Amino acid sequence: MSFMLNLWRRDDRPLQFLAVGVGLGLFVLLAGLWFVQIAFASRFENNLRKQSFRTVAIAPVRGKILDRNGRALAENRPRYNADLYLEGLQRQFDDQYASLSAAYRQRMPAVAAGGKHPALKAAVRRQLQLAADCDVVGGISAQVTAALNEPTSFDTNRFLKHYTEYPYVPYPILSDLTPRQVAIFAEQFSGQSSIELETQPVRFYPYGTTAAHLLGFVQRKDPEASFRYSLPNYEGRSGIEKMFDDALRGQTGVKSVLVNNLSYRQREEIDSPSEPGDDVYLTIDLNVQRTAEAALASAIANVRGAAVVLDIRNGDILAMASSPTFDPNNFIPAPTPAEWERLNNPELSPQLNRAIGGAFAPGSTFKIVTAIACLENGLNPNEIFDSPGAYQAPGTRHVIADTAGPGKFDFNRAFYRSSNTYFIEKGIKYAGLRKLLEVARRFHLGEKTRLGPQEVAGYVPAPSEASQAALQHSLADVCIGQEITVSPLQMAVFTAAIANGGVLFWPRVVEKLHHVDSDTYEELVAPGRIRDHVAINPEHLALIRHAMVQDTEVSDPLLGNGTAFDAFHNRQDKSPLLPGFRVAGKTGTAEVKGSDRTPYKTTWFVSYGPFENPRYAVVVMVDHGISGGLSCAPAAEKIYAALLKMEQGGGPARGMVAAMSGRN
Amino acid sequence: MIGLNQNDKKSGFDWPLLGAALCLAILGVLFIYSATGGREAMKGVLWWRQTYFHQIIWFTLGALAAGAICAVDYSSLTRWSTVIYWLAIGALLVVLAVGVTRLGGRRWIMLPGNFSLQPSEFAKIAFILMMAGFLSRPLEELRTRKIFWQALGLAALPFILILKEPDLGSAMVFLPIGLTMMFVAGVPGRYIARLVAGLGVLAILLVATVLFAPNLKFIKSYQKDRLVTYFGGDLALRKVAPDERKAVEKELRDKSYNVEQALISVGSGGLSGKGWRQGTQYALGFLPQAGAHNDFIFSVIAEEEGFVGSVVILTLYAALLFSGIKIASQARDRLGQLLAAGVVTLLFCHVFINIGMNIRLMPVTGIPLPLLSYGGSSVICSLIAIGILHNVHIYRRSY
Repeated sequence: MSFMLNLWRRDDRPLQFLAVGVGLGLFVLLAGLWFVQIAFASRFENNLRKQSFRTVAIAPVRGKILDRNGRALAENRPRYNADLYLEGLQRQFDDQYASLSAAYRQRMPAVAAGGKHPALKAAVRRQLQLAADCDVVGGISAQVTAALNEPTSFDTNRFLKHYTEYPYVPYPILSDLTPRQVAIFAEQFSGQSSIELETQPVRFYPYGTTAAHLLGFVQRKDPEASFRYSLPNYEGRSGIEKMFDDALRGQTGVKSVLVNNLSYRQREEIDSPSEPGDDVYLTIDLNVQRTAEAALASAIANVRGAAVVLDIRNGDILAMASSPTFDPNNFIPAPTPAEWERLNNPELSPQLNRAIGGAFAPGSTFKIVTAIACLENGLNPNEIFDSPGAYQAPGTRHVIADTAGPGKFDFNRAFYRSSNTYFIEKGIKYAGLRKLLEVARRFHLGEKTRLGPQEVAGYVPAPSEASQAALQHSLADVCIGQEITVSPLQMAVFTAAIANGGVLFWPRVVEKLHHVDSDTYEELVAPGRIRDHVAINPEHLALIRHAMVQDTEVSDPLLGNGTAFDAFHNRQDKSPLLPGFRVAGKTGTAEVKGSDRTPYKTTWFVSYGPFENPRYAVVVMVDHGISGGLSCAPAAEKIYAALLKMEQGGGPARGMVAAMSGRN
Repeated sequence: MIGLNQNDKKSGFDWPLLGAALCLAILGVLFIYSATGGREAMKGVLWWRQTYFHQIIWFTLGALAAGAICAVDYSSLTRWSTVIYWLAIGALLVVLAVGVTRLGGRRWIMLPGNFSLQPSEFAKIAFILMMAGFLSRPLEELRTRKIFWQALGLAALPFILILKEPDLGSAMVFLPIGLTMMFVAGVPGRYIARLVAGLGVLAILLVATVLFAPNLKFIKSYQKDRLVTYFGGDLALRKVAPDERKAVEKELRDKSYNVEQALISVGSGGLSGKGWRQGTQYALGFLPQAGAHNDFIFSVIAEEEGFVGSVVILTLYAALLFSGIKIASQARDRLGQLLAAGVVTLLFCHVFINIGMNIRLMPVTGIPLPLLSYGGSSVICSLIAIGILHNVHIYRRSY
């Protein structure tokens, strides 16, 4: 820069000015560039990202729900949608716009009068542009729907909403194509780059209503606000689907869509892939579950009831049925209005899981509790009681009928004939309310079993509350299982404890998680968690077990059959329906007053089998039934048949393996 | 090189000047290729029909023109200055009569072969030649008001014609060129200072009128919008009712879109840029498709090469401009000095306005960036200007 020195020495002021001016100008530019490119670069970098990338959530594949043998009860099926990629249609949009705007100009008065072509107003241009876009997309949509034999379903408003809000996301023309339509589509439209077949996983329950209450259902989740656009994602709304939603759902992925100034998609980058959800293994056995549901459904017409099958050696729930039921597939995307009305029918309440979510008077099945309380307090089982055939509380007109009829009863006969009079008299004489409640609570009746949020506790007051309880005046009713309520599952756990000698388990329905990506298993609930060792005198237990097996086996034309005899024997030749498999049980028929004060019956059958080497507890409850023997015991018999079949190789039953490995 | 028979001719090239010009030309072609050549739409276009190749042709033609100019002593060249000046004025009149309108201005004359000519670019060169010739007179004359007003008249004629196109940006460039040349020639500084002050007041009044009385007919709506955009929405919004504010704001946002996008391009380049052909702003259409390779070429360079690239560009221009000032200072006579000063001012104005526009220092105008922007008229004129500079260098005085 020696010439600059010369310049100054020569004192050429105008050129000096010019040089200073140029230098200053360049310096200003340099400073400005420094501010924009260095000092505030991150701000502009952010603006760039904001305007040229859209984040789109990728829905993960939801985990399956499987039975104990790995058969899927809830899985995903592919749904095929025909999608239109709008960025590929720009040329068609332009062509259509050109013809529309030409037509529009023709109609303008200035042109009609032969004048020059005036420029169109911006608003008019925008209007024509949108009309052109709708024409093009509508045309393609009509073409596709016609080829696939579907009614044309192009909705201008829906398209414009999609087009203005998410032009970088393909526009769905048709969703849920049938396999036939998929084939036609592939044949006719595979060459067109702007139309593509897209696959979307959709929740699917292959067995429909099977275990619906247990599984629950999913519904489409509200889009996450942090994403510009979320691909459809589902969220568990009840049952296992809700309880294990976090595990089943998996990890939502993120992709960035690079867009141009018109927001059309240019390319995509997966920022983080979606991770599939975990599979949940249940303790349910699909076959037993289906049998239990079928048996329950056929108990009476329009049955409202529940059935529970428990492995008495570890508390695993092999089946849990509730009726009436529903098909969780109908919730995707949403139930029809008629279905919705049925689902919310207050009489039937199909969504209620009666096995855990309903509390019912146990009726005569509670006589097992009464029996223990009496035996522990001095009842002589051999003492003969002469029953008048009905019970009338002293000094009242309250008469409790007795289906066992009048006659002489020892403990055994009173049990299998289910004599109300016997158990009321003895219960009042030997036990009293406090002791009855104490025994019931020893078996944790009237307490939740920690199976899930749907569960109810029922109503069995603690013994300490016995003096205050309103039950004080209805001791006679409590002796025969009325005025208190329990859930069918509580009765199953209780029956299992009678069968296994007093081990009260926490029931278990969820076994483990399968982490699909790492192929590892995580045990969620340990098997055979013992809640309590219930102390019962073995002699008393033997007496009760004997009486329970008599209930299904005694056939005496003079003294009367066991209340469940008919259910377990052939009607003609009286041969056992389950040869070699003896079932011990107790029927129950509780008289309940409905909300409109009309009495109805809650009927029960609690049981376990086989008698000598007990493995299963089966409880069937039918609300509004006829009697325990007629409405419930036959269903239990069918369930035992299925259990037998399972043990004989109708599926690799782990109960068998456990039995053979000598756990019992 | 050139005939040795002329006594006062000093042989040799001004390497910094020519080197800087060559580097800028090469960079220009490279980034025009980056902005246009890599695009999907250009894939099927033959190489000899692509923009970057056209630019090479313009450079070749411009270099030939510059070489031709260097062949004759600038003093013999300026003998034709009056003819050239009036030819240019004629061309500006032709534009107004039969010119083609693009981007809101009637600035181009169509030539056979689908080439277009922008006479306002040539008018700037003609004006420099004319002005240099006119101002080459004794100092006493230069100090008279008559000469001052006559010189101003020479500037006003193309100024008004170009303003009519309308092309406010290009028209405005005549003022600094004319004033600088007068100043260098020796016109008293107080005249110029008074004129500048007067024009400044006028400009403020004009801007204020445009912003606060937006329904005037004589200023084009896009110019108004550009000014409103440049001087910030707040000023214009003061009178707007709150419920209308949103709509007006949106309109302003749309108008300032190009500036905003240019800023995002430049700013997102950061220190070292995204790499050649890796810029997204133009490829994704955020920078105006019609303007990125000409008016907004600097955004493309700054985005792809970052601050480092910007500094390189500025350094090259600095080399070019200071070489020009050096040539002015070494000129044989006042004519040569005036020519060099005029060319330096012309190039500097273009560089400052164009780069300034890319970083919101200046309002958006259609001023091209010399040697980098695409465009035949701009490239050829820039090279002719450099040719004139070099001519002054060749026929400089010796120390």
